[in-house]
Amino acid sequence: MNTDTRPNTLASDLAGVRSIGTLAWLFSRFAIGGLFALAALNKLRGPNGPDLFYASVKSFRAGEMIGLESTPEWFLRFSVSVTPWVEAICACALLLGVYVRASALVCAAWLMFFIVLIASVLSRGLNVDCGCFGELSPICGKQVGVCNIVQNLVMLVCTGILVFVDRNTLTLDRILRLGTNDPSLLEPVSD
Amino acid sequence: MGSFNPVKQVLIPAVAVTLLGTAIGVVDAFVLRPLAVRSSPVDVDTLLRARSDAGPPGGQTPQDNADPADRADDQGERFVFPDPDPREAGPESSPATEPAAQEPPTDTTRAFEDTADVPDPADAETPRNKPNNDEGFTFTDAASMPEGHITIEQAYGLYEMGAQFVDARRLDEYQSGHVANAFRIALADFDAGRPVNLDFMQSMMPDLSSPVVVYCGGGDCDESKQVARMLNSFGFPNVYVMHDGYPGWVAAGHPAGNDAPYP
Repeated sequence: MNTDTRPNTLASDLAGVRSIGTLAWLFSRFAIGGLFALAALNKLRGPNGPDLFYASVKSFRAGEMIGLESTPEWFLRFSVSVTPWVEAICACALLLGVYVRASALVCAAWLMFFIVLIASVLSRGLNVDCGCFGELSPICGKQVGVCNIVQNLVMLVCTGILVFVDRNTLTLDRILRLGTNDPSLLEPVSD
Repeated sequence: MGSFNPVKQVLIPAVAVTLLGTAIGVVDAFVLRPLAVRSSPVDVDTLLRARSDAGPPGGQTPQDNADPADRADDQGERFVFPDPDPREAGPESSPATEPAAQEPPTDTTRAFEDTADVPDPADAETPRNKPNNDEGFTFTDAASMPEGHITIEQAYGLYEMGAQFVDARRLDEYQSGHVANAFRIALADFDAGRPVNLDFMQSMMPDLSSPVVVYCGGGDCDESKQVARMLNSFGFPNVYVMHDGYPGWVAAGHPAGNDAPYP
């Protein structure tokens, strides 16, 4: 429930940043948005980004998780094509502050899937490259390991903050009057 | 104060975000950027022309190179396999499967060094020079090929340059006959990560940007495109798909063999 009834001004937004809850929310929003943007960009446009990601996803052998001998080619193509774009849209939404809760929910679902997938890879003893950020490895090493699970869990906590803590600080939502639940925020500023 | 509606304010936008990403991804991958051979290798004709313009050592003209007997003098420009040549360790071509007249040279570098074993280039009946097209093989026109695909003759031009060939077919197909000195790297070999043969092939290449030609059974076969994509992803930028595949190569009478040093 949104209890923010301050006038809809940038000054009031900045004043609200002093609260720890808002700071955590802002940090989570920009951290998740930034990391998802980095991941998406490297998968889409990095040197051989899409191919590297394809190779990584293929080497995960996700089909074995459900008893298939190999991962269906259509699934590989589909997931390799769709994942970076969903990441990119979520990143844009988070960074700009449009439908933050909804985007964070999608990110959380994605992260949970990654956690399950990586846990499965580790349990099967596969030695594969993550491909999470294309050729970059900003947090963990290139190879899939426990670090990736921890990284995704931390990111999951951040998305949880975004989903469950309702804020509108420094968001385009507030400017565009989208996704707000408090009519007082929709009123024009009158000094 | 309005009430918070999780369905309207979170779930529906979340589904919308996912659907939007899915739609863009599908359009991007299957319409804007088909997944055939995604990377844009150097235009093969440019590559071949550059070699011709450079001219062979010893003042030979490019036309001289067309004569197999002269290729022995062309070693300075060709890639020389490192010593010891592991290909020498492999078994020789099985005489049981191919007649002696069709025994191809088994080494790109030394293919025509020993002229005693080389069919006389003037002999129009040698399979090396006369297209073996009695079965009416129809070669695909270059203009109708997707990006990254090359004709048999372009592939042969690269073969003469010392390009590496990769056979993406099944092991039994490879063993029954393949482009001389081709490595076999099937799509399934990438399931466990980097194939061993890839390291072997890379060790034979001057650098990663050297041309690599991938082929399968021609026609509708998709393996060569997939393997080419995988090679792209492992850092080989100039990967070409020989569109007409091994049947086209054989029909054109180019060097083939059935030795399988790298199964």
